[in-house]
Amino acid sequence: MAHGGGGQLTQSLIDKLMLAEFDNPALNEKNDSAVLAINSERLSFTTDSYVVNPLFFPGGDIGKLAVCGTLNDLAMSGARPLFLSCGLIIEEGFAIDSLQKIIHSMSHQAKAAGVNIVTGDTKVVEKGKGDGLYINTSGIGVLDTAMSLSPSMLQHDDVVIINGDIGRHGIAIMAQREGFKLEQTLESDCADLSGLVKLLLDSGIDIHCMRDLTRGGLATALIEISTAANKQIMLDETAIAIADPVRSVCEVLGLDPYYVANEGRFISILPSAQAAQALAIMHAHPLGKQAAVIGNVHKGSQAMVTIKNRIGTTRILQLLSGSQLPRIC
Amino acid sequence: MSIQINRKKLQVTGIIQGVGFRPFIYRQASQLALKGWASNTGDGVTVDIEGSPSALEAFIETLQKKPPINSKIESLTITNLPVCGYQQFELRNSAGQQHSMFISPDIATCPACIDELLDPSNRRYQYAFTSCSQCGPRYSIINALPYDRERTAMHTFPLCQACQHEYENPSDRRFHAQTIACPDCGPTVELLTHQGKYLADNITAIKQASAALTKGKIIALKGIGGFQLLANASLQASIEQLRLHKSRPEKPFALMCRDIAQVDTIATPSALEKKLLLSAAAPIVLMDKLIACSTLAEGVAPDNTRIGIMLPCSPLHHLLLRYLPFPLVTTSGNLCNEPICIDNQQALDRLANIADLFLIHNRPILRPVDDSVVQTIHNEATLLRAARGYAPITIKLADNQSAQHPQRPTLAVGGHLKNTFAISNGDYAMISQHNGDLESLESITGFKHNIADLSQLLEYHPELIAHDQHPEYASSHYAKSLHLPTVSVQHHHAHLLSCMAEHAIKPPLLGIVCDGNGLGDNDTLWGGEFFTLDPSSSISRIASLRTFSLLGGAIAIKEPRRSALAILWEYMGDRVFEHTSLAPISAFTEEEKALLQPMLNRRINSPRSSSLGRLFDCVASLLDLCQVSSYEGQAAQRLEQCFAATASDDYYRVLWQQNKELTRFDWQPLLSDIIDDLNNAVPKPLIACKFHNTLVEMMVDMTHKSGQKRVILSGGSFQNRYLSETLIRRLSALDIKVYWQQKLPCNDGGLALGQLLAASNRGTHNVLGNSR
Ligand SMILES: [Fe+3]
Ligand SMILES: [Mg+2]
Ligand SMILES: [Zn+2]
Ligand SMILES: [Zn+2]
Repeated sequence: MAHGGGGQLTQSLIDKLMLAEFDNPALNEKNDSAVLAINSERLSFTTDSYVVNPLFFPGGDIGKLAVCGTLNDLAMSGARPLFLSCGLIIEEGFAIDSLQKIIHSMSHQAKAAGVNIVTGDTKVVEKGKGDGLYINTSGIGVLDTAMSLSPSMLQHDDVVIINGDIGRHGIAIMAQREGFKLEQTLESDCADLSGLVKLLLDSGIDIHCMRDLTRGGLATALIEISTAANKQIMLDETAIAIADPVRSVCEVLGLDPYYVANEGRFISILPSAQAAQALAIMHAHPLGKQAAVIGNVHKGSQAMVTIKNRIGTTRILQLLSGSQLPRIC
Repeated sequence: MSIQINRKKLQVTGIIQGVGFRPFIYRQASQLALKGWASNTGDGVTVDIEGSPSALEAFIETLQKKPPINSKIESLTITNLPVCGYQQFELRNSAGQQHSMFISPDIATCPACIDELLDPSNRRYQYAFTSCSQCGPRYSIINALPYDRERTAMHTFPLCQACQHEYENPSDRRFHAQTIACPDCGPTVELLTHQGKYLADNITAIKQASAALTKGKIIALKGIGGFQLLANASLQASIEQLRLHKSRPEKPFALMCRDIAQVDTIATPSALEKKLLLSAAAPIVLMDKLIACSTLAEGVAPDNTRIGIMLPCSPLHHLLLRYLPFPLVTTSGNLCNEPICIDNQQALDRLANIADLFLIHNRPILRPVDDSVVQTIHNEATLLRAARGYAPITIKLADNQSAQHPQRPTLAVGGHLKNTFAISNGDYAMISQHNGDLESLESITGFKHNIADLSQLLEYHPELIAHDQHPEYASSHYAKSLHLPTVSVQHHHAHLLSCMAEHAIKPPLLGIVCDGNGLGDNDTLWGGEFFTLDPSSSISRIASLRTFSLLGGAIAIKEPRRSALAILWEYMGDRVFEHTSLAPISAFTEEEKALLQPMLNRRINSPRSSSLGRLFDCVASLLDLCQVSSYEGQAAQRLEQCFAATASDDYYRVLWQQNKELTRFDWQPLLSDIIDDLNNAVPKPLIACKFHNTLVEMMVDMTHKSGQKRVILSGGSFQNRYLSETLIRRLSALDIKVYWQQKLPCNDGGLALGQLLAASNRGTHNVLGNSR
């Protein structure tokens, strides 16, 4: 499932089922968070369920993931996170000390971000009806600026900036789950990005769009943005950092790192004139040391994400349709 | 007593435009004192003539029995009309609305034109655009039909008086030759630096280019259907430079030789192979390399016993090669996975890092047409890549496919690699030139452009789109983007139907379709398949290879060692990792094995496959001939070529697993026999030969079991000459009629025609696959 999810199947499920039935302006924006105008305030509201297997992995656990994931979704909408909820679905017989560890890491992560977990719910299901533990978190944040972040803001000549290397989370999780013996342990990049995002927003940089690169990885996030914006995004393969252990696992497994999940990586799309300023801010932050410009937005109105390789040929990144079957005859 | 006069109207269709057909008609009519006229129409030529019954009869007989050499008459309808008293015979201006399904391919320079080119007293001496009514570019320069100069890339070159005179003179070789040109009025050649700086023109440019090649420079040459990159085939440094800049480490290069005598110093062509070299299509012909060949640098075709050779196909090539004592490595002027360049500026932009000099000209190329590739199988010419000299290919569909169920105009978009597309109209299918692999944005853009181009040329509007069942083929994506009804066709069904259509044969029959991969049912990748077709044309898959994992999906295809590991693991389990004396096992690092073991056990990213191509990979890896390949088909080629000199009839055990509906060829006994042979130090060439023989026996055995008397062979695995020829011989000896692909490639370049047929068959039953 490192590839899995976030592909065409999920897309069409959401489009055909949810959007058709629930149909309302906030939902129809199809962002990870809904931005809601209440009186004079603009609030951001999001929810996410976490079903990761294994529950503990190098660089984190499901608790850390559940808090960071929701904080990141709020941050990507340009909001300052304020409150979180916590819903637990626990399989009967789940070890209490494991639960303790997970709850502790949730609280630790929330405190570090300066947010409170203000409401929650706990359900226990029969043994065999859950994989130990599922967590749902919802989050509310407030938008301090009048800035609106959305794919529709994309302009020709904008640059795409990423805050680090890609693929660590997906490969770390997979290695743990499938029992790979790696030469170097690989840690998930799971992290709360809201602090770094706040620095960028406060700096006055005219960010047009941001997206965290979770399920489906860099490729899926950019394809969604490009489709919504009706613009071509062109990436430069040589600019995208991939750690050696990630690269070598991907090579042996035949996985495309551009589609592998991350939990502490995001892209921001902004005018090229402000790229240097954005990079300077990011490079000074622990979560942005490897930040780099990895591509730009092309003129014209063709929704497509392309990636240019070392020798200068260009490949189209497509939404994955379920399993990846080779096309070579 | 008055002389009897009759009048007849002849309507001729086929490849009859651009091949000197009307001048031929004119001469025949004049000789026989027939009066009337002839005219190009959209779909052929119309002749309206009056004369004595015996003259008319003689005229028609010559037309049928001795038409111009490059023409191909598809149909001839004759109607009688009342005499109207024509006074002369004339060629009238072209007219007509209905558009043809026939377009002449480009034709290599004819012997008469070569003579003129080299004759100092001729006014076209050393003129690089010499052509006549029998030769010259056609498909690559046609803007619209019917074929007349004003609708070709030559329309910007008004004829000088001398050329005009030849054009109008019925007794001249260039009577009505649309590509007529001379130094005074035609296109010109220029030599540029890679920065685009002018160096020289015409014969001086050509001579400077020759000199540069001698010194080891790489030249980008604007040929007939696109740019070619040329290098001195006797200079290793030159070849290495070309390989480096083209990112092509090992794949054999083709050669261009100045004449047959030079070919004989490199290879041992058969009579048929020579005939193909000298044919009007002038393709690259694959042939056996001379064992002691000292003229070629090592890097031209490393580890290959076969070599692709072509002869000059245009006056420019003739002039360039004329005085060179060495052959030229000739490869398409493109970057890896991109379409061939056809435009001067585009070539300068894209190829400046590869070529030192650019030998260009000012006659536009209107569509990319790469060089064609042919080999002989069982002493029959067999296309491997259909492009210059062959494309576009028109095939008449058998009656049951179209005539009784007039079908909707259909576009079949073809496969993902070696793409061609096809369109159908009435009784005919037209198959495009080779579009390359649809792996890059540039080649996908080219593919779409070529579809639009042919549609415009033929004024063709498809109503139904056929595509491969694989949803991720770039061609399938395109099919779905058209918002027209679509039919999804299984890859190997398309291969099978393509071969059937080419030979116009009808069921019942057995189809053996073997290749690398194509998407089958249940997300498995097929590639070693046996189908029967009953008289009602319904297809049943009766047998296949036992399946195994493609470890890592697409990367398994690039690394033959992965197929070996996966196949051995199927029956050895994790113990396979202990067999470190086996080449594939020792070809992996410890770190890789630490990942591959859980991958195998947990089937991570490991689709199942019944591919014969991968079984070839497995054996090539076991024999340590190829562990990681750098070009498609490398492992299978090495396996086939390693035993050229070792003839044996021996084979390994052929055993089948009888499942409910499907019989599976079990490769396990075969592999354990091979490993035994390896342990007993049996020479590798002998093992490779026995492996091939086993596959032949397996296919013969299944033919027996099927009870069929006619067998179709298709799929890329049959590019393997030993496999095809041995199988054809064995089956023929058993009185079984064997059909293999000849007019179209048996690889994915032939898929589109099969897709068309599948769409029409299903269309008539109103069962559209995944229609939108
Ligand atoms: Fe195929
Ligand atoms: Mg989310
Ligand atoms: Zn000629
Ligand atoms: Zn002239």
